Amino acid sequence: KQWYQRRVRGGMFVCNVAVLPFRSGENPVQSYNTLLCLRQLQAHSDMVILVENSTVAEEVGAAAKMVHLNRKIVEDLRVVMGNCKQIPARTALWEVVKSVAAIPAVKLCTVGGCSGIRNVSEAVEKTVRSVKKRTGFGKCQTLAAVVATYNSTSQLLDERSEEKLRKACNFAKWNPFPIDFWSSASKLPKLSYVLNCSSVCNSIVSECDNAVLKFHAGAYLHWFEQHGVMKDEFLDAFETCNDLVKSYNYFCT
Amino acid sequence: MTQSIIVQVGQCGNQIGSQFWVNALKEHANFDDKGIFTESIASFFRNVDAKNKKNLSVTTPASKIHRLRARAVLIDMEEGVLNSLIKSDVGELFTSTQLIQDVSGAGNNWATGYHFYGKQFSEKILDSIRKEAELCDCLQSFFVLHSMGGGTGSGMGTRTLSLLADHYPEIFRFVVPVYPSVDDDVITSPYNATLAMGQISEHGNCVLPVENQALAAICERLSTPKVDTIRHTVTETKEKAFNRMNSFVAKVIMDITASARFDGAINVDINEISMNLVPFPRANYLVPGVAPLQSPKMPQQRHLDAIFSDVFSPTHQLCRVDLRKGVF
Repeated sequence: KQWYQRRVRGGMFVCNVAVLPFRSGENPVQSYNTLLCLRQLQAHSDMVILVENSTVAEEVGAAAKMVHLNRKIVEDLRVVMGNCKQIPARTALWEVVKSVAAIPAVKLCTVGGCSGIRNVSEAVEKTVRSVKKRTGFGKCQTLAAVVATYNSTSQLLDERSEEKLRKACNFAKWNPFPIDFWSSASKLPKLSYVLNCSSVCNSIVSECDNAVLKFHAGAYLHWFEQHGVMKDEFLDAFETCNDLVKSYNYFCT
Repeated sequence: MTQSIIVQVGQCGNQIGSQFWVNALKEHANFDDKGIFTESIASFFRNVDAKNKKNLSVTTPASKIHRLRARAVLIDMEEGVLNSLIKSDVGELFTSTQLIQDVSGAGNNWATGYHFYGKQFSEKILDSIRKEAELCDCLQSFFVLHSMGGGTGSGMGTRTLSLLADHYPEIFRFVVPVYPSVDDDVITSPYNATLAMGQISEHGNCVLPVENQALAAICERLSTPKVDTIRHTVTETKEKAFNRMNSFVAKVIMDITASARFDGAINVDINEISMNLVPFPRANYLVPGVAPLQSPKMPQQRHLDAIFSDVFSPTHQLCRVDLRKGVF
């Protein structure tokens, strides 16, 4: 459907928000579904925002219910929904795609955000910790990012906060302008970010490994073959996953 | 929401089915006592306006329950069980088109049930199932309840299963076969069970085997026989024990479909049960377990962790297998 829309409407672009299953496992065929889905997203989407259930659950807290997780995800997606001072709402998503997912081979992004109870500085500190966690405390590199600040004056962050966030993101050296800062008005001080970071490969690789094990055993394949998804499609999906990891390794060195 | 049709075959299948419908009505009454025909109750029942002879759909907002009809087909080659079922409290749930019966019985012979009666009643069975399927908005699964030791249950049950596989290949087929105990009084039960197993393995999507001995062991652990004259005590305890055994099997069916029938934060649809638990087409035998199992006279509060441990223990399984010796 998305492929058709792009062909018919020409200039339209597509952004997918895809939720990765919990690391502890939700169902035995999740790895197959993840890779087959990723193969299609890589082919047809302009930007893929990957939300990891486990990461969101860790950030929300131990006693979180599904409704809390969903609320957090929606709040984190605010930055791509627009309504910032610097960017008109109708072009916000396009600006995010241009900034963060400009290279078609590496367009998997993550979103996150933290709010502060007292002031923006508290939100910045929390966001820095959150970003460091996402980047594996410096083990992974970020290709590009957009950070939106929400405060009562809709002012941009000061230089010191910006520098903290740049360091936390651990940007790839080849990108001279890796981060965009936006701002918007809000009663509660909050930061939201979109990162294009190589840490997304970790989750995908673990699902891929799981899928390969099952594939070699021939497990659950008959359910997919019933609907015309044969072994070739699985092999294509594994190849897509490998190409994705190679592309991230190439751009993040 | 989706609908399921229960196909009860033979004495055992119909007795389990009878207990199932009693429990299903109680469950839905506990969930919604206002008498509204909701999507959850529509999964196993139809709402019929007897005056205007119309089936009322769930899409009619806040439609009250007029007369419930079970989404079921009842098959038995003997009259006794079906007649007593029709005369029981749940008899009003069934119409004559849902009943397929004969008088002679299959004589504890799989071949009589499968080949003789199977051929004779194939058209009637398909017709009955077709009528029930047409009354469903979105039919998703069949539950086939039957015994493995008898003639009708094993023979007609597997014949019905093969008809469902041929004519409704995309509808999931859950089979709940009741295996005979070691001291079963039917001498041909091993033959019947073995012949039926081949059919079930081929045509069933998901098999939930139940052993009579496991059910009896559970009942023995939970029951407290009344002190009375010897004869009266034995009769009362035995009847109640059979009903309780059947209710455990009924509970399994209701519990595995509960997530699909009632709303929740995370719902697991019936087709996901097959998808997730059957990695290879021939590895379709599952081990059913139930927890908590409580004596009605001594209900105990069990913590969730304890219930989780219980359900994996051999004392709560409906099929006596040692899970520790196998591979998941």
